[in-house]
Amino acid sequence: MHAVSGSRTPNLSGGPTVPAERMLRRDRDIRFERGSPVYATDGRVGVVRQVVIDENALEVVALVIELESTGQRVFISPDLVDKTGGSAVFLAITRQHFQELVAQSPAYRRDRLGKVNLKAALRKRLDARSGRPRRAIIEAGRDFVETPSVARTAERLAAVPSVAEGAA
Amino acid sequence: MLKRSFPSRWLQRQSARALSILILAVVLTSSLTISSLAAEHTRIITIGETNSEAQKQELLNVFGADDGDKIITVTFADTVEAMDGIFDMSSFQPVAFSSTALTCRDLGEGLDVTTNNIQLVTPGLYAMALVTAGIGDAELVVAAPAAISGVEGMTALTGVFRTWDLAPCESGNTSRARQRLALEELTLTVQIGTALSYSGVPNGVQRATDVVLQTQKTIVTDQLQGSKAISRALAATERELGVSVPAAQRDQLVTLLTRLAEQDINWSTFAAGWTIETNPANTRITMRGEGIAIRQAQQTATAMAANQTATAQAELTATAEADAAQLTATAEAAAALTATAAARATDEAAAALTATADARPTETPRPTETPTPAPTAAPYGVTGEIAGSPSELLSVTSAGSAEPVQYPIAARVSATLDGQPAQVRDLRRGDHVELTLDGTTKEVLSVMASRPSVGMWERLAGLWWLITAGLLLPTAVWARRARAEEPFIVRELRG
Repeated sequence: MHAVSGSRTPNLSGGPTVPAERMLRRDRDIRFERGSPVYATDGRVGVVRQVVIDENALEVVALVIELESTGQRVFISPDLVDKTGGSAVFLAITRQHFQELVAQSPAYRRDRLGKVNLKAALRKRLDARSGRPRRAIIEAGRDFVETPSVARTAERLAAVPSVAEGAA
Repeated sequence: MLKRSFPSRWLQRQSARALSILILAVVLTSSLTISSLAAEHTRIITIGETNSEAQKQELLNVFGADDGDKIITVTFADTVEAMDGIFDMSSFQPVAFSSTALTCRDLGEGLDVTTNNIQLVTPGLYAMALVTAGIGDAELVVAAPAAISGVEGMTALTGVFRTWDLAPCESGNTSRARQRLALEELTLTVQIGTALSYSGVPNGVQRATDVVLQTQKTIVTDQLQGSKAISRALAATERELGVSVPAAQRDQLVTLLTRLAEQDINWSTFAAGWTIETNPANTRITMRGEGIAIRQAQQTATAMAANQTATAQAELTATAEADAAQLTATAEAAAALTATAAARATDEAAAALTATADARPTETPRPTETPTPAPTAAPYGVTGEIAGSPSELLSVTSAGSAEPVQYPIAARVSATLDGQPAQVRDLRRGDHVELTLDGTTKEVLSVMASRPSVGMWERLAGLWWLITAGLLLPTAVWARRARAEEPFIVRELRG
């Protein structure tokens, strides 16, 4: 998913700057919502259109961002997300960096994406063992996906042994 | 032997001279009466001015003219003048083809009208106009040359009225005012008939004539006055005949008939109504007045008076002859005898005349009280649209009418729909129908129906719900798919 391909260089110059009140806000968890605005550290870059997950691991593997400047859709890694505040998604990179990553990201193909049986996936969320706890889905709905923040990830990791013990 | 003196001779000569003058007067009076009667029955022929000599001769042959007939020419200008203020004839071709032969009839004999190659004015219309004009006893033949088509026959009516100016029949009682009313009535009836024809009523002019004549008959026999009563009579006639006078002309007709009723017309032969017989080709109508008995009673009274007078004259003559033949009495005695006889004759004549006066027709029982077999009403047609689902009654809105009329359906009614045998119950609202009704019971004997072809848009209008559903359903599906087609949470497809 993170393979580099293509040479698309979306133009992100001139995008809106990040609202101060949003910069100051930080949710306990990471929450991706349909249509959430996506901000780089120095300005807005697009909106979240879709979240690509791994059903088996029940983790987020990519975000589909629709670029504000061109309407083009691109994949980005959820690891680039620093935090979410309200419906906004804040990346930990600059727009320039974002532009460079997008140019190397695989091309978005709608026909390569399929629906997820969300209920079935969530039923086994306790059994799922994500290799990357920060991507693990802790809650999901029709129009949102939540993953733990860094702090929550630590808590979660701390809680897992007890769960494992209980299971044993 | 009585010796004759000079005075007696003088008196004798004077008596003989008086007798001669009296006889001459009687002979002359008789001759004049015969001459007058002959004049009554003289045929007057009017020839339209546009006819060629050959056409004129053709028409004279049609009329069976002979040397004794009086022939006059009627011009288009005469018709225009007669119709002035009634109908604008400026759009008409300035031709006058229709020609007439009018023969007077005795009082009470009624009308006999025949048309030959006349397109617009029917025999019934002529008869109606003649009755209104006060010409109740005559034989009228109206004709146009065979080679000329589309002759309407207006000139002919003008010709009839001109004939009247020249040699009126003794039995008639017309006037300029009545003639004008007749022309107005005829014109309006033609307009009504034309409107009916345009709206699909077959034989529109004839149907209009029937309505107007029957209403007029009711007005005459019931002595109706006032527009309300006349409007009611007209409505009853419309219902009876199954014809609706178009609203545009109905008020005019009521007004005209009201004026007609206000004319205080002596309807003479037709005072008690009339009966009409028409030949199948509708080229001849015989109209006999049911007031004939009245007129005949008048004639009888007149004849009785004439007889009484003749008796008195005969007695007077006989007395005088006796006086002259005997000559044995003295001149004074003879004169006295003559005077006595004359006085007695005068008294008798006066008595006879009084008797005549007593024998007034108003004392004669009206013929309407005599039971006469009612004429069997012939079936007639009604054209219109079905206004409701047929049940025991067939509701039909006639052309030119707003209100539907319900007709009972005969047990053995025959029906066709678009030329195919059908049941009356198969008919539905909006079907165009031509009904044949029993003239007496008004039951529907047969129905010829045609269903108006439904256009594509009308068909589609009937399926509006299907079209709406057909449009909404894909839209709803598309909207649902559009909303659901992009899930927020997706997975990567392998392979």
